[in-house]
Amino acid sequence: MLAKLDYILKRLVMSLFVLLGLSVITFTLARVVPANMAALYIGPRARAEQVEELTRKMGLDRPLYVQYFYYLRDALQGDLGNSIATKRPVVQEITTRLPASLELLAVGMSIAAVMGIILGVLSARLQNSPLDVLVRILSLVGVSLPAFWLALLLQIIFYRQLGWLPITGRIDTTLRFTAPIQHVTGIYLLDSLVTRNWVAFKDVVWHIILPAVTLAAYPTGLVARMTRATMLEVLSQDYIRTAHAYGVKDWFITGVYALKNALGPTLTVIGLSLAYALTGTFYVELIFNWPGLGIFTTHSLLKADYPAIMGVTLFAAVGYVLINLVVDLLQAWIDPRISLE
Amino acid sequence: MQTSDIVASKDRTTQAERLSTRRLRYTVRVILRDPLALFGVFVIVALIILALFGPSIAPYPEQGRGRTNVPDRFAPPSDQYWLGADQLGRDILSRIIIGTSIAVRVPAIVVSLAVLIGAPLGALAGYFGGWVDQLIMRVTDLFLAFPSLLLAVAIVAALGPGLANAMLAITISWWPWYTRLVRGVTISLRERYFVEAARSIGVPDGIVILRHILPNCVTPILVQATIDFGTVILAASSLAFIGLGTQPPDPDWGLMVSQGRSFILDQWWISTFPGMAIFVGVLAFNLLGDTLRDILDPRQYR
Amino acid sequence: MVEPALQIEDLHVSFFTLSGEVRAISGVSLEVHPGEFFGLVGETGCGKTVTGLSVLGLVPRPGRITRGRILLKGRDVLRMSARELHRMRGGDVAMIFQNPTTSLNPVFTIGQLVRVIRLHQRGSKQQARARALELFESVGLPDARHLMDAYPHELSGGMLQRVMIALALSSRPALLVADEPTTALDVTIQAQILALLRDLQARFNVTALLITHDLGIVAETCDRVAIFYAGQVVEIGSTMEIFNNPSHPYTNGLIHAVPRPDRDTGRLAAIPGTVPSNPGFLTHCRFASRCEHAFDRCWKEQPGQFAVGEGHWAACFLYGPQEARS
Repeated sequence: MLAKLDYILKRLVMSLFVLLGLSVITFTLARVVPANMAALYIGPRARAEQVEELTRKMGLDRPLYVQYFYYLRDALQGDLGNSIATKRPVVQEITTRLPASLELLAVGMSIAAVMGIILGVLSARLQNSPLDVLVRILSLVGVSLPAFWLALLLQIIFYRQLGWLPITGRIDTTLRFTAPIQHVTGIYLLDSLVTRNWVAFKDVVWHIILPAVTLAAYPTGLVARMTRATMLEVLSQDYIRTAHAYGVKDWFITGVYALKNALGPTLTVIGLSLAYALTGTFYVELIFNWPGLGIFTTHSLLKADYPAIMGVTLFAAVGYVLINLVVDLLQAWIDPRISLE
Repeated sequence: MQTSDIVASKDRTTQAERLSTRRLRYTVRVILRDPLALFGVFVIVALIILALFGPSIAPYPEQGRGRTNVPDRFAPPSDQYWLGADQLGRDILSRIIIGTSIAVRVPAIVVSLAVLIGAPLGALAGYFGGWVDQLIMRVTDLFLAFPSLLLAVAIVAALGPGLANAMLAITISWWPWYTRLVRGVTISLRERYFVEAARSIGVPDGIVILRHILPNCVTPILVQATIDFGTVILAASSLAFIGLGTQPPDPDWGLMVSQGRSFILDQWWISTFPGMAIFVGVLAFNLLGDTLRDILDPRQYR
Repeated sequence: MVEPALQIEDLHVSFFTLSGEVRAISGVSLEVHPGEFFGLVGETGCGKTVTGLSVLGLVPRPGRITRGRILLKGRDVLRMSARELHRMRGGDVAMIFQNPTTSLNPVFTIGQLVRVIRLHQRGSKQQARARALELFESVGLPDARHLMDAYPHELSGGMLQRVMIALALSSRPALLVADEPTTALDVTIQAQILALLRDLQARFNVTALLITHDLGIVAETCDRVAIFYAGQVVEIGSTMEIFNNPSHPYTNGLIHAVPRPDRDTGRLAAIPGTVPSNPGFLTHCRFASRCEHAFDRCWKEQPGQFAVGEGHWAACFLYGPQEARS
């Protein structure tokens, strides 16, 4: 037990260090690299004195380490500067748009995790069967598909050709009047469910299918491949033979007994694929006009809105590190051998 | 036995573990028997040929490079334009062919650079251990903590859009993976007898690394690099799609998909075919990489 | 005459690999009587382990039992339905394996493993746990309660093997199959485990099939022995008979190959030659190429079982009728 606490502590300290390092990198990219921050902020029609004054006000004439100190201090207090495009605090832009992205990521990653594990397990158990071959091909396709292309394809097929699903947006705009969703968390799926707004719920589900599936393609492929590979290794171990020798039911061995051993690397890969999903939101939200952080970032990139870009980058990176930390801790909890290392 | 004999016999041990020609021939034979791998190799060879001789093969090379042909805009796929024409009347097939050069050049440069930077660092970290290892690994872990593409996007955003900046950004995001990979291999090799033997007779560290350790890293690096080729194609085209990479009128595949987006519903071919090119290219590298991994089994180095 | 606990009749097992069919076992027959320890002895690859696995129907792919019957308590294992087979495993028959450290799932505690492995048996979880605790005590594991919360990697090889034995015996199986149970253990622990097995045999009347390559273990633990060579049984008899009167030339070679500290035998006696590659398709005596007594007939047909003594036979033409030598 003590060994586990020790491991947890070490992991936390490491994460802290990493977070600090991240802030250094984003600071470097945000302040050091761009030529003249103040000029960009004011705009092209600024006069020299205005630029100078703003430079002083923003502290851009101070030595770098001083700037970094203020940057860090502000960031820890929740101030990531103001967006050049909207003039509003970046943090506010983030919090407004975050629920939409969270919803999309949650649904997408859930699909990926569940489908990936199921397909990987079945594929390993029925090795070399037609199902196995199919899963292997599909996983390979999944990790080779450009997300933006898949999104467009799905739009063509399911909207243009079949007319089954809506092309863009998060919810039918008319619903804002006929069946508005009460704001509880900002996550439409949850809110409409909790307030029993079935009309809106169905509509939101319809709208989220295509973007979520697009987002899930790459992670599903990755998870399925890793799960399959790990399961194959586990299933060839001696202790599986022992379980067979004692008449333990086959589905139990595959689904519970062996799976627990295989979950470790699978969890790691899920954490890793989250990285792809995060950046995937840039394209998916753009193409499906999903009002989240991704589309905001993409627009900010095109407008060279540095505070916004760097703010979101730092935010996303921190989030990613924290989630991986949780994944690592989960792994330590599942596998009793880890705490000893 | 003389010292030179000991050195010679140890040398033979390491040579046996390197990528000998026999293993190479075995690898080729396995590839030739696997239809999927064969498909991958075929596509890659086709890509290389197109990249080198594109202008001679493309039916409308100047359109491929960007010359507009507005009278024929939005032409659907036909005998004249096999894959149709885009919103400025340019033949999509020609643009895809000319764009192959970009699609192949970028990962070639990026992966080479990433390996050149990352591998030696990894070898140094793994071999010397101590503070060198700590220092290099801390920095590497830091870069690895970032989602790769996010870091690349941020770097390009800071530097400004353009192909060169995009390549630089992706390289910076990619080298840590090779550092970690090579470090792992080096650490497991460091414990092996032939390294100890070489050091005990006074072979300088640099030579040990160069002659004994790095050659044994070639295999895992090769497998990773092959797969990374595909991943970098994806990354580069993704950056181009957002507008951060190649700039118009260059026929970058990602850029072409982005430009066709507004017309996706009726003139679907403008975005679909370039996207398919990306998909097939990435798929080919993934297939080949998978096969190489199965054959060369780097698991022994983990 | 008491019904034998195990009867193997003319067992044939083949592995259908990409390079062709490999006949691992060609016509093995033997009987194990209740309460006795029956040893299966032979070198690596002779088929003894596959025989043991066959009894539980656990021959791994691409292997398959191609002919024969295996009667356990009168029922043919090879004709059982999947359900009956599952019920039988861990119930009427239990197996323990060579490497106890890898035979138990490392991410489960011993207690959880007991529950998983006993899951299909009748009785509640509490009953299973109580029974397991009882057995842990009887196999010489003190402090059984704390054991239940331990993980396999926290226990030594000897302790783990005791756990396995306890698990195996918990349903009072009619037959225990032990595949090289002490090979992976230290010599001192080996002795302890063997003593434990003998003790259990005496106390609970355990019937066991003991698979090993070590004649020493056979001498210590087994009542009767079957000598395997190249996928066939070449001699069967009581341990006393086999050691005092080894009949088959291979057995003879084996016994004399064991170095004896009390005798100065000079050079170590080894059996010349090696096991023929792919012996499964040979139509003559498989030992002929290494036998110093081989004559014409040995190269023409397979020898049958020839009686050598009370309950003792050897598959060798030396013991056949004199006239049929040529």
